[in-house]
Amino acid sequence: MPKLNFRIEYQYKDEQGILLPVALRYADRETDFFARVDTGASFCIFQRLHAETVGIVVESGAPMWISTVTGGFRAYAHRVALGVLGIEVEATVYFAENPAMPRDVLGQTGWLDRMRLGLVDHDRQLYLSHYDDAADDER
Amino acid sequence: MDVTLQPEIERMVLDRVQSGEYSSTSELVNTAVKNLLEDEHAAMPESGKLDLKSLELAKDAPANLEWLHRNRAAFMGEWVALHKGRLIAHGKNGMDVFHAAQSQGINLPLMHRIAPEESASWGGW
Repeated sequence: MPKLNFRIEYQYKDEQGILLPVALRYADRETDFFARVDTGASFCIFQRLHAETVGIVVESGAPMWISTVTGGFRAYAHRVALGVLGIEVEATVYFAENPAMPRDVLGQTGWLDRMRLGLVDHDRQLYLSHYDDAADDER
Repeated sequence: MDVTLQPEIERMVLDRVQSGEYSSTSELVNTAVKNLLEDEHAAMPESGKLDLKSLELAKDAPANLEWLHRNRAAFMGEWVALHKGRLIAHGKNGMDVFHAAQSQGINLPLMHRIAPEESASWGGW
């Protein structure tokens, strides 16, 4: 069986989901917030306010319609840096056009696809490395 | 590659070409996109690098989550700016809350909107 090493071990507390603190950076500005890890989300999607606090003009990005089980909403792509649990990556993320959209999600493209993630939800324990970190994969 | 410019951008492009600054729309668009991509690349950090600031944020997360857990009902529908488990500012307008926190010397508050659906089970997207 493969064995993996991880750079970070983190205990998440909230029973509402796997909330991780995120430092989102653009140019020389930063904003901090909690985002929910969602392996079922295709993209990283954040609230409009977070773009505005770092000076991003939301509608200047490429638009995309994000579908959800209850309908959908328009969001705009922007290139930012995401610092999560001590690992910073650059990524294209999406900011909701509608300021009422209340969710922040770390999804597959842009974050999960750059990470090696281990999860023991029973213990509320999350393990994280960057994908390029040595994995010590023993088979 | 087909690219459709937004009308206001197309107008600006044509103005610059007609002024003689660029010989063609293609030259202007190529120059602009090249500059944009080079600037973005220069501004971006090495991917996967150690980020001490977000590690510090992670250390503060339990206190901030504890505050949210205890005070969710009282601030329902509001943005809150937190710092090390303390409420710095709150209100309906997120940008006002962010600036209020900064005016109190907290340049990087943790911004969180307390939404009614948080108290319900999350069904994913």
